[in-house]
Amino acid sequence: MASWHGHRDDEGIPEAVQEVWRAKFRPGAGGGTNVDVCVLDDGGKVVRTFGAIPAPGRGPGKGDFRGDAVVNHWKTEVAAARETLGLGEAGEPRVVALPALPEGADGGIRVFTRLDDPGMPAYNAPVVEVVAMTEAAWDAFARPEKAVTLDASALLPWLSKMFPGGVMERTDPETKRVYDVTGAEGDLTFEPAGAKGESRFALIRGVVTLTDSGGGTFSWKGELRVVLEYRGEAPPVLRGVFEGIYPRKSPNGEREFPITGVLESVRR
Amino acid sequence: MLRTLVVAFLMAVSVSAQSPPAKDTLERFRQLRPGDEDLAMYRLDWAPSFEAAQRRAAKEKRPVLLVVIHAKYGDMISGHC
Repeated sequence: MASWHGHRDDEGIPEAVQEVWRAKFRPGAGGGTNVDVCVLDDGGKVVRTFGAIPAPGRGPGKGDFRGDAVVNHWKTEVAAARETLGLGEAGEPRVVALPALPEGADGGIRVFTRLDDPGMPAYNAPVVEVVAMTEAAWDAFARPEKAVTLDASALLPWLSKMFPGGVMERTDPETKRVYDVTGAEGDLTFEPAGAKGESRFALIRGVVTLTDSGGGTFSWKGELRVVLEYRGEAPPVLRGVFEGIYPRKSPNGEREFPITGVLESVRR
Repeated sequence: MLRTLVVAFLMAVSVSAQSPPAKDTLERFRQLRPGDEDLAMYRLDWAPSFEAAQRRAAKEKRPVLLVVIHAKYGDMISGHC
């Protein structure tokens, strides 16, 4: 399984993508969304193509999103591809394997983000990203003996993942590139938080305001709470949540929706 | 004597338990952390790129399912697309 993205005037478009787009954009082919799918055999030959959303409507971006229409469409198309390839029935689902640490990293922070916009169910599915952490990067999070103030910018590498799954929310109108989350402001409290057995704990909490490279007055904020568990000399185990409000702009105006982040440390 | 016992009790509490805000945070983490049912997309065998998927396909004699996005940006693996 893989994905590819680009525009028709890009250089180096893979032959399989060209084949998909020749069919998609031929005169009279109809609209559909900007997402298509193709299945290739082990030699790279395209054996089936289909639009990601069934039954294109009356123009670009249209499709049947009702009920299980999309799920059933994929099941039908993938089953047809399997038949063409002589693969038979699908086996048991694989176990969940989340995005791994970047090569060479021994540890990091996994960030799950979701936006609860009832009009965009896809945003409810968590985005999952991993931020590598060096041993030295943990120095800023050594357990304090008493409550201290921590600038939220120290957590920007993790908090920079706290934006909705659909990057169309905030993209540069010229380059179409997504804006980066570049600012995390707020005075956080970093304090000892008790002990249990051999573990000692600390808590980081406070309100964080996030901004992006798009500039202007756009921002979103939320409450961050992070527990760090220290045991021996190893980097702490981290578990935290970010609960905020994201002002989503759409053709119907701006509305605010809950945005939720979950943070957890990962080790190789 | 009573005072000594109270102090000893408070000290025991302070070193043998997480603070209430820390406990609340960990409970909230457990509530919000996505489970496998929310992460079904990661049951799929993702390759980091189409090129990598094709190399594996040739080596492992397996097909490739490619999602083609007509856009400047589209990281299907992370979900930011």
